[in-house]
Amino acid sequence: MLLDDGSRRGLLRHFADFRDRVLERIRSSNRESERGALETGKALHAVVEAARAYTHRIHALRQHADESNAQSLAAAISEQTGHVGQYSSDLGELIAAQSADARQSLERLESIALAAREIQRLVNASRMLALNAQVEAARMGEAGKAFAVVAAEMKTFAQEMARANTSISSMVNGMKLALPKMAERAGVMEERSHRFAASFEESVGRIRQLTAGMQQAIGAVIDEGGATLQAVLQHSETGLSALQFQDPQAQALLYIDRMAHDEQQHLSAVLQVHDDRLRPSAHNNLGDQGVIHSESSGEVLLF
Amino acid sequence: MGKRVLVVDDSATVRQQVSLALTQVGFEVLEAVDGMDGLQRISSTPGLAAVICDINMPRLNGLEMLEKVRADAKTAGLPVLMLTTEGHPTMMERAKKAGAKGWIIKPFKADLLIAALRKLAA
Repeated sequence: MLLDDGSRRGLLRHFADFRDRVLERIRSSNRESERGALETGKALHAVVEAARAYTHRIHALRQHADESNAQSLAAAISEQTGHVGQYSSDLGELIAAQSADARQSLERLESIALAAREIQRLVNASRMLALNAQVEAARMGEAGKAFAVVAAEMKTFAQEMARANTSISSMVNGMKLALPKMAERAGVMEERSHRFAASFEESVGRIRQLTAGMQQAIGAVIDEGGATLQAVLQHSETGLSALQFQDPQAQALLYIDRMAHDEQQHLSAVLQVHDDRLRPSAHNNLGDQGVIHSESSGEVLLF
Repeated sequence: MGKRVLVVDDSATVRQQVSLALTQVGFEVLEAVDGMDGLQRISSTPGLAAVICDINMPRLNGLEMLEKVRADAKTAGLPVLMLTTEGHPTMMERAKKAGAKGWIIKPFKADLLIAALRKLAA
C-alpha cells in the first residue's frame, strides 16, 4: 500500500515530535544529573578540605605528644630523682662522718676518764700527805704552825681537786652514755634516708611506666584518627573524580538525538518528502563517538 | 593571589571540578561556558597564565576557539591545555597543529592536571 503525501508528511511530523520529546527528556535528565553532581561535588570538596585540615592538626598533635610533653616530664622526674639521690648520698656521708666523730670522741673520753682516775689517785695521795702533814705539824707544836697551814691548804686543794675530778668524771660518764645513743639515732636516720630514696625511685618508676603507657595510648588514638582521615580523604577524592563522568554521560545521552537526527534525515529521503522540522543534532561532539573513553582517562600529554 | 587560569567548558560539573582542584593549590580560576564566551573572557581578562579548554561545545568548539586565540597576536602565546573526552589521535594531532600545549582525557586526575598546569604556566 503506498502512502499519500499527507500520510508521509504526517509520519515525518510524528517522528519529529517524538524526537523533540526524547530530547526534552534527555535534557531534563541531564539537568538533574548535573545539579546532583554539582551539589555532591560541593559537599565532597568540603569533606576533603575538612579532612586535610584535621590531618594537619593531627600531625601537629602527634609531634607535640612525642616531643614536648613526655620528654619534659621525664626530664623533670630525672632531675628530681638526681636531687633525691644526691641528698641521700650527702646525708649518708654526713652521718658517717658524725659516727666517726662520735667514735673518736668516745676514745678521747676514755683518755679523759683515765686522766680523771689518775687525778683521783693523786688527790688521794695528796689527802694522805695533807693528813700526815697535819699530824707532823701537831707533833711539832709551835714550830709546826706554818707547816700546819701548808698542810691545811694542801687538804683544801685536795678536796677542791676531788670535787673538780668528780664533775669531770660525771660529765665523762654522761657523754659516754649519750654518744652511743647519738650514733644509734644517726644510723636510724641513714637507714630511713635510704628507704626514702628507694621508695621515691620506685614511685618514679611507676610514674614513668604510666606516662609511657599514656603516651602509647595517645599515640595509637592519634594514628588511628590519622588513618581514618586518610581513608576519608581518599574516598572523597575518588567520589569527586567519579562525578566527572556526569559530563560524558550527558554527552552519551545527547548522542541519541544525533542518531535520531540521522534517522529523521533517512526517513525524509525514503519518503521523498522535504522535512522542514529537521533540526541540527544537539550532540555537538566533533568525533563520532557516543561512548565514554575510559581506558586513557586522566592521562596528560604535553606537546 | 596565585596565577590566573580560565576554564572553558559547557559542563558546569567539569568547571566546578577544575575550579575546586586548582583553587585549593592557589590558582585563581575564571570560567566560560563555551568557545564564544571563552574568547570574550580571554580578550577582556589581563594576566591570564593559561587556559583549560574542552573541545565539544556549542556555539564555538574548543579547536575553533584555539585557532582564533593563536591568530590574535595579543593572545598567541597563551598556553592552552585541552581537557576533553576525545581520545582519537587525529583530534589530538589537529589540536597540536592548532597550537595546543597539552591534552588531558576526562575524567582528569587533580594532581596530574595541577602538575601540567604548573609547568605550562611557569
